[in-house]
Amino acid sequence: MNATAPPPLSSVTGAAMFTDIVGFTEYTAEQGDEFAIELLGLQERIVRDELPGDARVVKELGDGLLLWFPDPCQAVQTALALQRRFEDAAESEGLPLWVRIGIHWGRQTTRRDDIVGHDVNVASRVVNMAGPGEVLLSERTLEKIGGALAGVAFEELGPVVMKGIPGAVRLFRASAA
Amino acid sequence: MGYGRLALAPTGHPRLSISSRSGAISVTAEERPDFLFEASSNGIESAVLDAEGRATVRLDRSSRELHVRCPLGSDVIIGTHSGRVALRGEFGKVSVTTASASIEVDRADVADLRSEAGNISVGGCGERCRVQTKSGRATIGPSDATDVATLSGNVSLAAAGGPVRVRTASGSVAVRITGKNDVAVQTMSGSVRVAVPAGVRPDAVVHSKSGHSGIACECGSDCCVVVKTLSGAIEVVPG
Repeated sequence: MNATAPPPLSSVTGAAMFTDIVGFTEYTAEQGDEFAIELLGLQERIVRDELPGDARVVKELGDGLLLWFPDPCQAVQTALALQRRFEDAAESEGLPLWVRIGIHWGRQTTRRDDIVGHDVNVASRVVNMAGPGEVLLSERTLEKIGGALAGVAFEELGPVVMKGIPGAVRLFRASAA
Repeated sequence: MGYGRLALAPTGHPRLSISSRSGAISVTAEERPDFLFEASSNGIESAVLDAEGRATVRLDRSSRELHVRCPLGSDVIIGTHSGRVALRGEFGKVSVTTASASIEVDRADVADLRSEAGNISVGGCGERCRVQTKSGRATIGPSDATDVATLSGNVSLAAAGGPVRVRTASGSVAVRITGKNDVAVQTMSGSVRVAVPAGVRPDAVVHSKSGHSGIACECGSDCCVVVKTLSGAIEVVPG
């Protein structure tokens, strides 16, 4: 019997970005499913509005989204634009649209429309360290950007040890300069 | 085999970076020119001084405890997964990020402190203090600009001297301002109490969808106090 080699994997290189609504479970418990779905709809409308043509929503994850960008600068700029829109919408609609965002540049293995792999896992850990309204990115993302981006300030948060990820990942906080 | 004890002499402004998976970390700022590291079990995997004078220390998995002595006003960055982090003395810019450890900082000019599960306490912060926790408590002494976010952890700001922003889902919030500073607090179910000093008349806007809200101090236009909650109670009181 011949051993069958696994089929070759296809991959892409880009920025995996996770968004996550902070306090969504509590909001749903307080206000009920109808209001919670309204909040999700608001997040999704804003994301689809701001998403550049060559970026895409990979999948919905309950109260968050996984997005993919071919360009790291575009990912950071879009993330900051999203946070501005989320803040404005939260104020005008009176909804607690407290979204945190994490970005990690790397190689993602494609599985039909999905992306998976270590670099996607790192991105999901990065968002866990963010607070509402924040955009955090890994050192590798900042390196890919070239260390600087017009109109954006990067603040080092330091080496972060994340569950299941070997070695520490240096994280940075992006904000409008 | 790592090191148990070593010293590094920084060049320029003292800056220190520590990463560790577990184990307690304590850093003491004092009158001294160098960094002195003492780790249990020879747990210092590497320690280097870069061209800019920053000391970077990495601990191995065996490390149960690291004590560091550093110059007053040092900038410190710490990343760890678990284990208590304590910073004693006066620091410059401090950043601590951890999954489950508690964080204690005596005093810093600027602080960014994040723990998913641990409590965070800051004795005082001269410029900006940013604190994030999920379930841990955030307790902050005298501070200037303060930004706190928790999921369920309670928030206590004892003497906020600058603009305050607090967001929490279910944690309760107690803020005492010391002057004419703006306050913005949002919660889902957490109760909120804002104490305003005598002589300060805030433009207070409070909104609770289903909880009790009350303003017990004289209002005016000295500063803005805006508190919004879905079901928590709100009090703006003299104090």
